[in-house]
Amino acid sequence: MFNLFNMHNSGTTELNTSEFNTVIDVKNVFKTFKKLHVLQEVDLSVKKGEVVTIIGPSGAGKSTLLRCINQLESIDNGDICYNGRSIMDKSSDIDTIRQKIGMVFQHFNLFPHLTVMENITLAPINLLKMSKKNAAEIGMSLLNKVGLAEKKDAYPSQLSGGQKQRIAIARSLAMNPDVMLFDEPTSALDPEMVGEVLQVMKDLAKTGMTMIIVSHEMGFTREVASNVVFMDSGRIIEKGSPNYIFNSSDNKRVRSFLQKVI
Amino acid sequence: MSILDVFFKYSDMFWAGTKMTISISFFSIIGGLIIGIILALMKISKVRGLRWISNAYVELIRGTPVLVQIAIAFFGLPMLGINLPSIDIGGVSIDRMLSGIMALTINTSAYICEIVRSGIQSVERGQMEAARSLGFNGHSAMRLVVLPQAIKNILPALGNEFVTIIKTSSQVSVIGMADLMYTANTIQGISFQPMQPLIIVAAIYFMITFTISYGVRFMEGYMSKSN
Ligand SMILES: Nc1ncnc2c1ncn2[C@@H]1O[C@H](COP(=O)(O)OP(=O)(O)OP(=O)(O)O)[C@@H](O)[C@H]1O
Ligand SMILES: [Mg+2]
Repeated sequence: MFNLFNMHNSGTTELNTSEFNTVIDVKNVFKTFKKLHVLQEVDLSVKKGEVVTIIGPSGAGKSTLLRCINQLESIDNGDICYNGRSIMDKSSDIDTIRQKIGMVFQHFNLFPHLTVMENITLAPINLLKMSKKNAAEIGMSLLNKVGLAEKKDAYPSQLSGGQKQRIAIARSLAMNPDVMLFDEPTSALDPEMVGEVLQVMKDLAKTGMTMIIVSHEMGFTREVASNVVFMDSGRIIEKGSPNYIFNSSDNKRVRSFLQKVI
Repeated sequence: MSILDVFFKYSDMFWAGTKMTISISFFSIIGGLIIGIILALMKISKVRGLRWISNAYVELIRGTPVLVQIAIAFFGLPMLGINLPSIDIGGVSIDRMLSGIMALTINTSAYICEIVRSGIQSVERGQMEAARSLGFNGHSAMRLVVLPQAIKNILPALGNEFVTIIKTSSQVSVIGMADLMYTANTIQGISFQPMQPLIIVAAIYFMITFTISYGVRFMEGYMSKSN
């Protein structure tokens, strides 16, 4: 079960990083859109191998937090560190950092003008200067993992939503990221397709991938998450194990939110 | 004289006019594409000054008649001390041709700019974000992900603009360029036939524009294989 997905260099990069290393460290982050406070005093640290699920009502700032972590949005105040280094630092090259932070979007955002295989190999070929052949081999093994090997020459428009999302996950994994961010990866899917995507994510979690997931899939969260974060109005209100959040927390907002979604 | 008599009697002149119309249109389209794409990238750039220049250029060109632009390019530039070389190559005076091409290039680039800009903006924002989050810088994301999709989206509008340029090029006859329209005028004068030369050049214009429309439609079909 180990390293199902991690095939570039098993072991070598882990040498100098201890098991308890913090991969993502969000420190006292503030963010506003115009006058709207979207993130306030947000602290979140994610250790290697952890699966953190962010839940909370619409407009809480969950997507914005994810997007700040890979700098699709800038922050107004505070700091975000990746493997101990501030990504705000002038010496940090955000393009290189983003290569190591995979992102999966609610609406997949596959490149419609490219085939499935080209979607997966575009970044390895152009950014890692991998040979076409080498990239295609990695692409093929990723396609096998997500169960879509026979779709390698299809265009995204020929795929179902669930298939598109599995390809989008494979596309991110092709860069061999240290951490994967998921923004409601199943909420644009027809109900019968949710399972196949969650299964791929479960398999990925078992390989030890560090994951931050915005999701309303409570069953999945109970089963897979090491930590759950509850956000409301731009703030992190509660944090804890799934058991704590779902069963023990007596925070009113958490309780009323959970009553609505479960 | 029947229309066919007119056509065969002056076929050399019609042929020369056709070549002239096609070559000024061709060079104007190439020039217009290059400048138009640059203007479009300026228009969506983060630098306010670049956006301002591009906006002003587009508004100015689209808000003035092409005939005036052609006249300015031909009569105005020498007055400003800008003299294009006045050489004849194969009976074609280069200065007239250059000012004609220049005016048409400037004119079409403003329209092409708008077409390209709307094409780029018609590509969902998520495409750029997906490319950026894989680690591509802005330029590579534009080149590998956004522009290929934009080109597909703008092909029909671009085809229209090419057709428009062919038709607009008829106006350079006012500065004495021997294009199709000029040829029609000349033959009207020497043959004393007011109607037939015009019908013949109308037919030639139509054949050129129809070929372009058809070619663009073919390209669209070819590029839509991923739909
Ligand atoms: N680009 C933007 N410009 C202005 N306001 C924005 C922008 N993006 C988000 N917002 C606002 O910021 C707040 C937080 O948005 P965000 O998308 O992070 O919420 P969310 O928790 O992901 O909600 P949902 O569950 O609906 O996806 C919302 O009030 C939203 O309207
Ligand atoms: Mg959201």
